[in-house]
Amino acid sequence: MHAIELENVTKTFGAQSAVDGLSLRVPVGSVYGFIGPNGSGKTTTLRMIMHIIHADRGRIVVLGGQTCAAANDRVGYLPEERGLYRQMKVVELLRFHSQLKGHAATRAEVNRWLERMQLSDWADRKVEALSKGMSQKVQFIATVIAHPQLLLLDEPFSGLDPINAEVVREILLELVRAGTTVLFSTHDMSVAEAMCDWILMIHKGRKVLDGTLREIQQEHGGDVLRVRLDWTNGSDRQLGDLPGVAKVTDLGNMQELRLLAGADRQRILELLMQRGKVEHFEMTRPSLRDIFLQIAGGPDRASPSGPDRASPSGGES
Amino acid sequence: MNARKTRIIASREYSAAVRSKSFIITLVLLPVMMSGGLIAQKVGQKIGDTSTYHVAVMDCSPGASLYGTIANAVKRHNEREIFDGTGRQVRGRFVLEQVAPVDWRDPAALDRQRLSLSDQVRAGQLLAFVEIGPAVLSPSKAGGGDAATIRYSTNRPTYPDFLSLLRSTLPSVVIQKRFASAGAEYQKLQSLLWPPPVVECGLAESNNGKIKYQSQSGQLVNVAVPIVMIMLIFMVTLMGTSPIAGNVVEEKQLRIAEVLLGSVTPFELMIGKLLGGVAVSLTLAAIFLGGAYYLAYSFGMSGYVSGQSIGWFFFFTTLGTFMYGSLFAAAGAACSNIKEVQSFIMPVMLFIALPMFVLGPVLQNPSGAVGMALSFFPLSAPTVMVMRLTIPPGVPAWQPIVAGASTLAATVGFVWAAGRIFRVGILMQGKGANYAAVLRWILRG
Repeated sequence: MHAIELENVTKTFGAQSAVDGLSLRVPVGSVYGFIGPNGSGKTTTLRMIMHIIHADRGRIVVLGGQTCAAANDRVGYLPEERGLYRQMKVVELLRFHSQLKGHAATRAEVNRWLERMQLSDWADRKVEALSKGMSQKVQFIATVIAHPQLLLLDEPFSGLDPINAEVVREILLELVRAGTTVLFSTHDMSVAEAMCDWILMIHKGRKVLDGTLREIQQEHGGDVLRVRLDWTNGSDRQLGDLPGVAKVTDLGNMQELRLLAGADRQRILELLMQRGKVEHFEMTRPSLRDIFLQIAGGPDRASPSGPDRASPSGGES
Repeated sequence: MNARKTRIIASREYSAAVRSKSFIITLVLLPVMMSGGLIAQKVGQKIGDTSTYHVAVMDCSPGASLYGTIANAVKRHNEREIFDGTGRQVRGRFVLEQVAPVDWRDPAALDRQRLSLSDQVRAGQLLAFVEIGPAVLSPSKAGGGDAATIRYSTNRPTYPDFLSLLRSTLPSVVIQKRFASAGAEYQKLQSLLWPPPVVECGLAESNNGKIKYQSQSGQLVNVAVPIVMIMLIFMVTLMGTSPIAGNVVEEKQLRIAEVLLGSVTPFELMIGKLLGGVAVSLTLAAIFLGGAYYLAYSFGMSGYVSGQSIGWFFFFTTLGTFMYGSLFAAAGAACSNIKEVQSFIMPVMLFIALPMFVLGPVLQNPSGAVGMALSFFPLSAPTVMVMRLTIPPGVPAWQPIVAGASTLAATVGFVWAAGRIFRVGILMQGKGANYAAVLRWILRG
């Protein structure tokens, strides 16, 4: 049983192809991560799933139905660009959104959500009085308050501080445990890695990754070595010339070496020990971020001839 | 279309509108504006006019015999006519300054004198100057022209009091003097020369066998009622609809639209907004008409508008709000800011406001070509038909029915087209669409 099924869906705007022959299946009760660089077609796909815009070609089935009227009340949608009526009070606004979904939330129910998101003191204040972060949280509550069976979230964590991001993450996982299917887009690969049962990557409107994290890593990973050397003896920091190393990424305190198939790790360790004191030597799988960068053709931060410094956060804005 | 969702949207729109400051202000200001003339007059009377106005008089008539007539009239005005019942001065006092007459046969001297007096008027020393021509008492000898006229020159043409004083006193005295110089007795002929007045009267009507006549004030009401009705329907429909464009633009700018489209279809959203606008218009109409009826009832004048006309008023208000509202909603969706909306909607606004420019012709001849054409043209039918319905003797029964049916058909068409524009435009960001693009959206969806 699938909560969402897309079959060969295509959407163009003028001469620009936004989504090109996309097919995917989101299993019921799963957390499905939707990743891809800016302009890759993520938001267009989410809008088509919501029937806000119509596909030029292909088939979209949401919760077993092909029409928006059949599915809409059971689907919660959080768009990337948040928007709330500024003159409405928080309580009124949340009840308005729940009523639109056919739920008619009680004041007690609204209060519970506000308490959960630490917004109780703002219940009777107008939305215009809220900070951006608070508005984000109110928007999130408005999306989930009607107990949807399916949640479509476009960048749900953007704009939230780590504490609130953690609260949202916990709530999402609770909803999943209660049977809700969650599909969300994100630029934060660490969130996708940590939360998602399935990950789909879209690039230039086409699907380039689809599977569990393990499947993706197996498909796209060579082995990766993470090493930390004591460079205080003034030895050369260049590691790209080591045999069997395809790519070097400088993580700051550590270097990440992507190995070619069949590379001799023991030999690499010996050569490293000749260059300095080896403080850390770890075999690992490639991160989703690495795979993302590799596929999206983003800035190539390392090369066999010399390392570059990578973003310390490891995330994309 | 999901009626529940549409009702929820409409309810929110209505609630937001009636709680806005602009609604409250309109509720208070509209009656004030509509009775603004009366109030201003009352206030003006209360404040009063304690000014003193100097007027120069150059009497070139033989023996300057007319100056005394003006002086007497001014004396009477200053002693009796400038005070209210409590003795407080409420009108301006006049002071005459007699100017020596110049030789009328010397045009250069006459010009110099007029220039000098005009300069004094411009400097504020005089309100005006009056010239009585030398041939005023014997116009046939002078062959008419300037010499036989009384000239009044001022730079305050809107102040009427002194001119009224002149007109009410001088002509009759001049005629008396002409009779006297001709050897005729004016007093004997005065009654023969009295022109019979032409008076507007109401129709006779039988009330339990007794014949009653409509009063003259009733005739005035018959003219005032259609004007009030057209102003009212014009105002309440625009009050309910014009904010829709701004709201749609705001929802686009603040990205509220996409959030709402996660729960409702664009058409449901638009219809909800239109229903909210209709509710606002009908609320205003009910308040204002209710208030007007109460006042009319208090003064025994409630019979001037029939219940049928009131019914048509609400019917056309509803249709008009739907029709105009759909245009505003479409304009809001097609544009990216309120400035663009204003230019975009301007041609349509001209059609909507057209009846206000032809009030006079329609009032004079309600069944004339202009009145008939505009009461069947959908964009003007709601206002013009309501106006014609309240002008006695009214219109044949088929006319509002046909106008209503054609407006209803046009409204359905407008709402359909607006729905197609709204669906495409509501998510559009950046530069607004032009008319060609909007036409394409209507035709292709």
